[in-house]
Amino acid sequence: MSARGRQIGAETPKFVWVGAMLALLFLSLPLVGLLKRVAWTGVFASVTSGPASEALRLSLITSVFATAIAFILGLPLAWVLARIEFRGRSIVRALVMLPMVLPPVVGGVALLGAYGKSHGLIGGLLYDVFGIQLTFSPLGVVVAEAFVALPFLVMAVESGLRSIDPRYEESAATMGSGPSERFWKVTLRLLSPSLIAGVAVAWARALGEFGATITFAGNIEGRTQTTPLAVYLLLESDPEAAYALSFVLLAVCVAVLIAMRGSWLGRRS
Amino acid sequence: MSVMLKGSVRQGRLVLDIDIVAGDEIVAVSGVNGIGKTTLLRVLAGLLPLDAGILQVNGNVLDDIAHQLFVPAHLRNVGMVFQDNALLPFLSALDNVAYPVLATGASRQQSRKQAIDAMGEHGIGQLAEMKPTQLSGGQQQRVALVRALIGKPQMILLDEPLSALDEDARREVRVWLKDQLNALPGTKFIVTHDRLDIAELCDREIALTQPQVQLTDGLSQTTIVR
Repeated sequence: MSARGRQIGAETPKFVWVGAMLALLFLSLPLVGLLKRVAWTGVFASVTSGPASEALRLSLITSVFATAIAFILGLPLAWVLARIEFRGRSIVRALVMLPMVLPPVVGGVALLGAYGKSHGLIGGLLYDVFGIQLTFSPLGVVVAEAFVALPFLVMAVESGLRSIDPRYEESAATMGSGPSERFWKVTLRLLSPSLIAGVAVAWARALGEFGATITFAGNIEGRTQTTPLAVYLLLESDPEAAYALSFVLLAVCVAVLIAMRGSWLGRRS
Repeated sequence: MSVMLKGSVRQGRLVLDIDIVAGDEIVAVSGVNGIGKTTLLRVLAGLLPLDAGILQVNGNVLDDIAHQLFVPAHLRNVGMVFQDNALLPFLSALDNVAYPVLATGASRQQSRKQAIDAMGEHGIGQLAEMKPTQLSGGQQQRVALVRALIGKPQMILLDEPLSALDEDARREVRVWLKDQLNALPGTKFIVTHDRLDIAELCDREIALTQPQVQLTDGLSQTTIVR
């Protein structure tokens, strides 16, 4: 922290210190406010009963499925983006990253356009042929969450694949391992820090999904009302439960950050 | 006549024209940095397909552009030491050495036993449980050498295999390596800058050169064009 010993010409100007402090304060004040409002003695009771517990249970299940989908679809996509050169690769990458910057509500509207039962591109087909209705169903929650979470996984895994030294897989090839054996025995092992980071951040994103979910799957208690939706509603009727739920989400996100610290937040020492 | 390679390959700005015939012998590959020594080994290993020409090893065609034939690395039974040894970082030294045996379909137990024996024979049995990052550069190269030789490969490709060793260790490993290589059939290629390696270890030398200073050693002619 001390400026002593720094090179002349690289000293930190005073206004930078002030700005950095203000930024830190700006970010941490709401967290302090949240923690201050949590009724600690009632947290457990609040989140294990009534709509809050329903919402948590639904969130847990849907976010795990959404993360699984993001993983299963995202790993091959990341591989193609990282390792196969083809025309229009940068366009495909931009398309993949779009849900990250798209307003989630717009994402939800787009999902309606594709999977809506009466007006969606293939929503009617899904319903007529398979009897599957995504809108206003827990399955729709999973789809909305996977839609916004997928790019985060792809991004983490793609950069992980790019940072793997190709000689490890080449040496495995010269030792007699074919492409699929190399994938399972070498690539996946070398990729595991990025995979963990990607899964963690995708899961956190899925867990916190609000806009696309409420637009596409609705807000039906016990069916499509996930934790963030419940927090928003409970703020009116039962603020204590809302703060308790918020605290649970906060705690989960902190845990995710800790899990990721090795890969994205600097080196594990 | 173990290896016949006549063809060319392009990698980046490098175009390598190769014409090599080699028997059961130890061949030194020399030349200045960036001239394509490693590229040549990669072509032989099956990590890089030829752009033109044909490669034949022990009577089997491994790469023939005219007939769209290419046998990839994992089906070639080569033993290779990469320039910075490329030991798999998540495996112990022992499991690195056991990897080629395991890949042939041997059981884990059997491949480990064979790896322990091979490491003991080379006097590096005490390194078995160490991870590559815990080993010195010289120790890593010894492990990589044992790993490259354990599968009784039909062609051996060593890219600067002794470079990380100090003078004493180098002499010692050189003697061991010569015995090992002489005991195996097939052609062995060693990329090296060290004149002593070439003199003591190798039967002859292929010098990669720019075309205007083409070198020919009778059996093989190797040129490189930029």
